[in-house]
Amino acid sequence: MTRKRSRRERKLEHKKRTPSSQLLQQGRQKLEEGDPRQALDYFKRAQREDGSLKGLNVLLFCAYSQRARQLATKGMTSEAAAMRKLADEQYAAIDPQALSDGDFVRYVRHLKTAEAVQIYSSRPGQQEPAPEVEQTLADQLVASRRWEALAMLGQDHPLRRDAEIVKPAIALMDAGDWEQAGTALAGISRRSPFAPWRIFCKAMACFGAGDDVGLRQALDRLPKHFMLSQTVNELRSLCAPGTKGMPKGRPTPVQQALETETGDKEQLAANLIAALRQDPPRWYQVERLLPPLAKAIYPEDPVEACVALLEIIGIGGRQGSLPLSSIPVMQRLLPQDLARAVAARVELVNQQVSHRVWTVVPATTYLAHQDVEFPDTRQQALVRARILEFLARSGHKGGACPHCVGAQVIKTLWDLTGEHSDNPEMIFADLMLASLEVDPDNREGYRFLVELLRSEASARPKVERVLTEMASRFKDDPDPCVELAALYFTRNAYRKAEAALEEARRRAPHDERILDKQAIGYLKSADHSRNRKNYALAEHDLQRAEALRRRRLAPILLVKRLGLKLMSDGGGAMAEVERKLRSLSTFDQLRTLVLLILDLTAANKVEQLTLASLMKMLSSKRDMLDQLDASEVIGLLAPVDEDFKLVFPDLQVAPVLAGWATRLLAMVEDDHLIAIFDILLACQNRSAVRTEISRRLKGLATSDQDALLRFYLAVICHLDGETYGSQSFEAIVDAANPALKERLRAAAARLARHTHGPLREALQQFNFDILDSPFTSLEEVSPGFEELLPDLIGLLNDTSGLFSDDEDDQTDELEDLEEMLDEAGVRGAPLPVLQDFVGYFRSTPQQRRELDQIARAVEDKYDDLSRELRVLLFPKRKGRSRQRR
Amino acid sequence: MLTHYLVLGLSPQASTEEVRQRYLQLVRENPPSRAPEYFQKITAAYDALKDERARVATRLFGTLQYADLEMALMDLVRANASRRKSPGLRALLDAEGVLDG
Repeated sequence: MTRKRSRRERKLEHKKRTPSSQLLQQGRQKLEEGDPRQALDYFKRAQREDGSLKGLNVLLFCAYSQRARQLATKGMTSEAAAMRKLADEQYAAIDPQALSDGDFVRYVRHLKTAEAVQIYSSRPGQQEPAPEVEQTLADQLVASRRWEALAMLGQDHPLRRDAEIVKPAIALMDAGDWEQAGTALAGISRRSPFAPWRIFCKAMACFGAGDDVGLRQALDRLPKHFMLSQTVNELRSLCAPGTKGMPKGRPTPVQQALETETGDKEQLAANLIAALRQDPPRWYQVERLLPPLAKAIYPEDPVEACVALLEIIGIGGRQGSLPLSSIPVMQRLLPQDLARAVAARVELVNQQVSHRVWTVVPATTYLAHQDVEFPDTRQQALVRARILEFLARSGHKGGACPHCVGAQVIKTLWDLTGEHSDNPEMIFADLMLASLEVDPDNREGYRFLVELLRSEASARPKVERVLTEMASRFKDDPDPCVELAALYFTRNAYRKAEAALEEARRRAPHDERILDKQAIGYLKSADHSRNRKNYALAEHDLQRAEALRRRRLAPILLVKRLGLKLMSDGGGAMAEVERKLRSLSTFDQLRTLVLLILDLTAANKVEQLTLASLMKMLSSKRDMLDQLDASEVIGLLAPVDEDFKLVFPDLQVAPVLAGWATRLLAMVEDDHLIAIFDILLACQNRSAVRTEISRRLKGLATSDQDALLRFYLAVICHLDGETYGSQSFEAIVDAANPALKERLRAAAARLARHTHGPLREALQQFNFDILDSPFTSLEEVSPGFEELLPDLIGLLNDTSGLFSDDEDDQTDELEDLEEMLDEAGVRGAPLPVLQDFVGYFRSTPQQRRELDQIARAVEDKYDDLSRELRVLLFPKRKGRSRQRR
Repeated sequence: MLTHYLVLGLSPQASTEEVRQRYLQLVRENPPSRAPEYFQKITAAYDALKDERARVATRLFGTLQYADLEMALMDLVRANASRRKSPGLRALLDAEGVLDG
């Protein structure tokens, strides 16, 4: 039995059988692939077969030359010299004229330029185009710059002709300005031997720009024999999709030249991430990895790179891992003071971002060490400004309650600002004021400060000062002027307001919003004059408003014009009003009349007779309702736009048409109906909505619309104190399909605006469980509150002393109420929690009545009440409060 | 912060004018139509470093822009890569060993 041959033996057998011509071809292939070692193997085997093979000398010459070049780039000079010698031994035996075109191209690649051109010029058939040969010579000319060799060629030879265009571009290529070099080569035709260089310039320009798509396209157009084949291959591997250049072994000279050997950095980074992801993180590994990674990222300043890396590691602190300051690696990698500063800075950001308890410790720590990172005093001032602003914004956004953070924190913050205010509630504003004092160019900071100050009525003078400063500093910004105008209007300082708006308009002459505000401002002045019976002045201001020609204000202008007419001329103007109204469309007639009634109702000193006549006029137009479509009905009832609040203190129009509610509701269906419900509920007109819902629900088959109506009814019943608990809501929500549920959720969000307390929370969250156990939200503030509630309500009910004339009785009762609040444990609670608490006491109509009675009885003592008692008795009023001692 | 400097190819000691000049140069070389991603990085880096106020804010609160550690780390590691080196022709010829005439 014959032995089975091994694989190696079979391979050797196959090698022996390969014909010489095939070996030569395989060798040529290897030369093209840039693998001269393997090529030499094939050529030597062929030589052993037949030493006189045609073309073998030149192939050996090329392979030895290519190998010599390879070894030289690796620094193996003696080996390279040996290869060169072997190449020279083959050189003598080569007959260039007898070479095939392909071999000739390979041959001239390894010759000096002058020699290559000379051999080419004397080659038979040189007159015929030989693109590959000419491109090879072009490559050599670009590499060697031996342009004098071209003298051997004819004047019209493409190499000689195009060389004049190429020469200036070479300097740009040497400088690495590939974009410009490509532009310089624009005159090169596509058939020119130098054309591949223009493409290569394009490729390098795309590489530098990070345009991998363009790079790929350019590389695809380069010929296979282009001289810089290694560079082309490296670029090709870089821009191939999905590769990120992870190196195998040491970077090659080409990779170093292109600086594409980023794989080391990425590998280190990947190892670092893996070490950090362990639980607990492998800090010893992190400490080992950081220095080489920092050096790889930024060798010029590894400390700076280390700081950057530690900042990034510190981001993990947001998710609750160790704060950077407690990590020993920090202390060992950086100088001590720098480590402290960086840790404090990272902690400052992390604490605020992760919404842990808002503290000022990291801020004060960093400010104490900021000179390490910011030695310049001007920069230090900016740092202080930025940190103060950051504290203000993060505290305000996170809902940090000045009462809850503690007196010591407040004191520390005041120390930071350099001022001590009497009002802790203004601490964020004080921080911003201090920040702006240091950095007054912070435009957004001013805006934020105004927003903070607006919530505090006593801060109006400060708001004015800040806005004036802002207007003075940012002379191109109309916004502070607009804000000042609004402020002046609240104080009835109309001329100041007009001047501010005029300045805003000067700064932004094409801003439609400012022009509208100006017109509204004139109307406000006109109203003021009208109310004081200074009709001439009112007329003057009204004309100024009309002169601005604000199309959006046209209906309002008409109402004010008619209103002024009625107030100045009394009932005598009624005919003119009627005449004017009849010139309008049906909808506009009704709407204008309704707005006119609304306007004059709010006006001072309007004759009741005039109002009565207008109401009568409105009644006479009742039948015109039939001409309105559903959207016009909504438009008729819709409140006045918020923008006109200055001239319509009461924006709600629906109460004027209260008597028509039933008829209007009967005119609409579906979504239009819901829109009208929302309008009526905003006016507290629940009875009209309730009546209509009950009418529609009678005897109707169940549908999505019915579920929506029943949901509205459930809310109304809850507001009226007829039902409690989640049952009525859950019955509707649980039976709803997903699409209907979304409609109900949207309806709940809208209805929440008209509610308060647990119902409001339930609607906002679309979770009605809270209605069954309403004490959950107060648990954190007042544990055991539920047990106290009956006693608290009893105490509230027993307030008879408040209605006596005896001052002492009243004082005692108020003290009892204050003690009740103490027992409830809601002192210093955040406002939302306090409002929740109040909601339980105001959840039934009877309780609300009693509390409102108490409020009326103690109105003159408002300033003496504690914050918490004010919220209980006057839930809708805003203002400063006494701190309960 | 270092990430932004590396994207622009500047040292952290670069002045405001140097930042501006480099930004203009890079934007000219890399318009959004040709290199949209790189253009965005250049612009973001410029916004972070364009004047002293911006640089102070970036140094203090620059990490706020990062949602997670890994993204921030790879941005830093690859910042230089987005501004690739443009070696000259001689350097490439030398690297390939074809620099003799």
